[in-house]
Amino acid sequence: MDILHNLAFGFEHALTLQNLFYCALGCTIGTMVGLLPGLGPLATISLLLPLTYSIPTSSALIMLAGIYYGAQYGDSVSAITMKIPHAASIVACIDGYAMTLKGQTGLALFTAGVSSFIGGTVAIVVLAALAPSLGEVALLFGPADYCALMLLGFICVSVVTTGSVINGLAMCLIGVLLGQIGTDLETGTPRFTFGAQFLVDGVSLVSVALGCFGIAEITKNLDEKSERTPFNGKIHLIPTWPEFKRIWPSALRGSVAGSILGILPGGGPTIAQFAAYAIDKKVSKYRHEIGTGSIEGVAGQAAADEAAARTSFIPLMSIGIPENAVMALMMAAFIIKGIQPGPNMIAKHPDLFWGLVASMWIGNCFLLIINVPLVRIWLSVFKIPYSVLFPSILFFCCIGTFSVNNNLEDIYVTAAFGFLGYVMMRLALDPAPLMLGFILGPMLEENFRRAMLLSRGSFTVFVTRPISATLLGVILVLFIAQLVLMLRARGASRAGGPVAASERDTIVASPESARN
Amino acid sequence: MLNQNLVRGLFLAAVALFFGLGALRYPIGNLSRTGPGLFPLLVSGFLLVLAIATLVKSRLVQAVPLEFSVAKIALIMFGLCGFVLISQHVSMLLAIVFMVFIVSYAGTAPSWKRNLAISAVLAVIAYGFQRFLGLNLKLI
Amino acid sequence: MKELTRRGLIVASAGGVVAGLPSVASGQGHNWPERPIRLIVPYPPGGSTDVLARLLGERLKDRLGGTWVVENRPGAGGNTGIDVVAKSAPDGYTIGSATVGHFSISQYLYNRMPFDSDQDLIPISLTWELPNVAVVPTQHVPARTIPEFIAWAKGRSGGYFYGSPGVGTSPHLCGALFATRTGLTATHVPFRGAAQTIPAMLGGDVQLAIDNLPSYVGAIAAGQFRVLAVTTPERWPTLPDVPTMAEAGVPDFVATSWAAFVAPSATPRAIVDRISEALRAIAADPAVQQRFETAGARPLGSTPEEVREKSRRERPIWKEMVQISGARLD
Repeated sequence: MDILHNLAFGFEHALTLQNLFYCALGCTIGTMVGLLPGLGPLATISLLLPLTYSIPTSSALIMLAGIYYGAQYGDSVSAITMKIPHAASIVACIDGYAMTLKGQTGLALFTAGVSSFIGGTVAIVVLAALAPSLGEVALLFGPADYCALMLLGFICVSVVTTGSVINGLAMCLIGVLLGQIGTDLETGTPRFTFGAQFLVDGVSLVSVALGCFGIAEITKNLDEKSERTPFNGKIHLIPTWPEFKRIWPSALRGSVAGSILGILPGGGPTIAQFAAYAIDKKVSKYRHEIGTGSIEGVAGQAAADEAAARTSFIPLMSIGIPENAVMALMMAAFIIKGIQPGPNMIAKHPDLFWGLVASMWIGNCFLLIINVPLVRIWLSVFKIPYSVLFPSILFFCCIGTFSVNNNLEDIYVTAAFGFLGYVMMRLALDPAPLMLGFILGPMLEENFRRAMLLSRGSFTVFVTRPISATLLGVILVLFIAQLVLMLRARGASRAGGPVAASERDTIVASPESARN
Repeated sequence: MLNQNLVRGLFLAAVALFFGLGALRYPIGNLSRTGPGLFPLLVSGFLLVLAIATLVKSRLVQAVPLEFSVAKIALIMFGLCGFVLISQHVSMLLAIVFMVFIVSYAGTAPSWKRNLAISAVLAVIAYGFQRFLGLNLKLI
Repeated sequence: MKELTRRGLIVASAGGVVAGLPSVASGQGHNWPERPIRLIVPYPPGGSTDVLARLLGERLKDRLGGTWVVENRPGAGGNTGIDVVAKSAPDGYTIGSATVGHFSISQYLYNRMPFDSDQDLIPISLTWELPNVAVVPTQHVPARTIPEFIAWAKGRSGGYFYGSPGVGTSPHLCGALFATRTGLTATHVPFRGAAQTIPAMLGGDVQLAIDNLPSYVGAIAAGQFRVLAVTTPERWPTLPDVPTMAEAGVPDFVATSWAAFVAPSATPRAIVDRISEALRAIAADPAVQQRFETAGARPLGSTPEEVREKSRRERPIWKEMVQISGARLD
């Protein structure tokens, strides 16, 4: 079969000692970088790009790719252990961190590792089989379709909220509003900047994430004067067989979601994690546990993350369009090496393409192998007393914020969000939906306005375009389903006796009485 | 004792009004040429509705006490801001020392020996970033 | 606690004095370069300015020695990064990669500029130029030449849509100028970079873009886009069959995107001249020319005065284009 032949060809190139070395190097650096709050693959790749000038092309690309998907795994680790997310690991903060609080950090990290492996493998199969044609899929999406997709993403709010849904929705809207700070794309008008130069390009995701999650969490811990649950020495790393079995369905679902969403420009790993989480919450056998620290909550996200990171290479390599900032940088790396990514790339440089694909799977294996010993190291890091740990985390938050734009003043923004995050936490407002709104909001607005511009003010474009119509149909169905379930739950609870007022708010129907 | 529910409602209302009134200053435009003010206005509107719902509910539901201590978060923010200023005008090494010291007072039992040790380790790590990653930190 | 803070103050001031010494010593530039040189790129990593600046940085390292570190300082359409350069120490260790926008366009777009390109910066040399190309998606627009496009567009009710990487960018200004000159009805659709414009065009939503060539090189080679004209005064070497705007029937339409390296205005002239000379030599190197060509640009070298002259010459043209487009940023 053609694919097998290509893959064999690719493995031939990827399995040279040199490429293996660079793959390992990339994965390790990536994991380290993803670990550290704020410092992301973008900053790292751009800093390390000069190193690649003297290395042969395929090795350079293998290393840079390794950094990218290694960082996705590292992101999960920092989300699980410190509740500090990057764009793609917001959901891991919910369940992953809850597992840490329950003392199940080792299990969470192991789940993340194995799920990443599963996610990566599935994505590579998808890549190998469908790369050129999948690139074309991205071209089918017009602004109206993206708008509908973003709306679908907003449905996930109810899923991502651990408290009352009104609060979750409110936080989501606040996130959307925060995302609008900056210069308006359509007209060039600066919005909500008050003449401050540093706000002209908006508020950085890193600042919001580090502030609302990291700093707020640290302050909360300090307030409670509770040093974190010290580990009693026995590191429960390898899960029991039933636990291990639970990883698979969730990870596979996440992989599929991630592989598909990774191809769409703009979305990629960020939306994929929410989709995987939402799907799990609807479909998984253990869905009532999701949100309180369940394996599914971690497995789905980690798999989706990794899968999306791999498939996001597709638009770059098959059409030559970088779909996010990291891909743009990879494209720069290609160009600096004298290669023009585009429709002809796979034909003209098959060794490069298939070598990269094969090395992605090798990277997968590396990540799995590296992470087992590494998990022990992370866990022992958390034996360090909190009084030493938290200043270090704050330091890394500063460095991470700085590394985005090489601008120290961004740290002021992070500090401001730290304060805001703390206030919101004390008001029982959950930051995860805020991140969802912050990420999806601007994309929704941009695409909505562009769709209106292109259709000259007519709403019918949302129904006439097939993808948009389908997605909106799905949203409608889901919405009605929610309503029906909510009404039914109300009916049941009324029959069951008086229910606390807050229960009535929750639109997501789950066995509420059971949670009581 | 402040009621958490009430304060939350007020907070949401404040945010909604802040962005909403701000949005009115920008042109709203029409559907075929949407202006920069349209979206923020819509979203603030929804948020205001939710804020009002929260306020109403806070009257009907049992009050939850609001726990809030400014001291620690203020210390952390002061530490971070100081970090920026000192890094910009003097050196990042000193900024690290400053930040670690200030922030340690937010924890329990700050000890200057421990703080110096932490600062030293972080300084080495910062140097590592500068040297091996090429991050432009003004260490000296 | 009080002793600690006093001790801290003494340490801090001592450190400050020590920190100040090296910059005083190397003010004359005799041993330049002694430390790493920051090459500030005022755009996010991965864009064409970033890629081309990195290519040059590599070559400058070979010629002049020292370490050249590219630092991305994006923001405010490129103004933040160049402002950083303008305000940094004039010791020859901070260089910026500025574009035509900083010299000749931004002052007409923005109400306030944080720096003045004439006063605060000294140009070192022109570094490259790239053309804007009028491209249409092959699948959706049948026109093969500019006159054909004009005829086709006139036949469409409501006119056509043209894309750009943002309000106030040269593709926006070119698109607006084109519509005015040809008398066509056109609506501007801003995107975030060519990465978003290209799919929109391939999907048929947007019909024209007069955008930077580097972003479209791959797609043009793959036949997805057809180039109707270039906006340079003469035909572009890698597109010999494509007419200029003037040849295609739109006279007085010259708009190239060019770039120049700059330094803070008080930088010692000796250092500026050394870098300028090196850049001129690099631009003449056939290997470099070939690399740039694949990327869709052409390397240039010049004296600092030539940069000033060019920027002054072009200002009236861009000023008019900004007025026509109605673009206004803050």
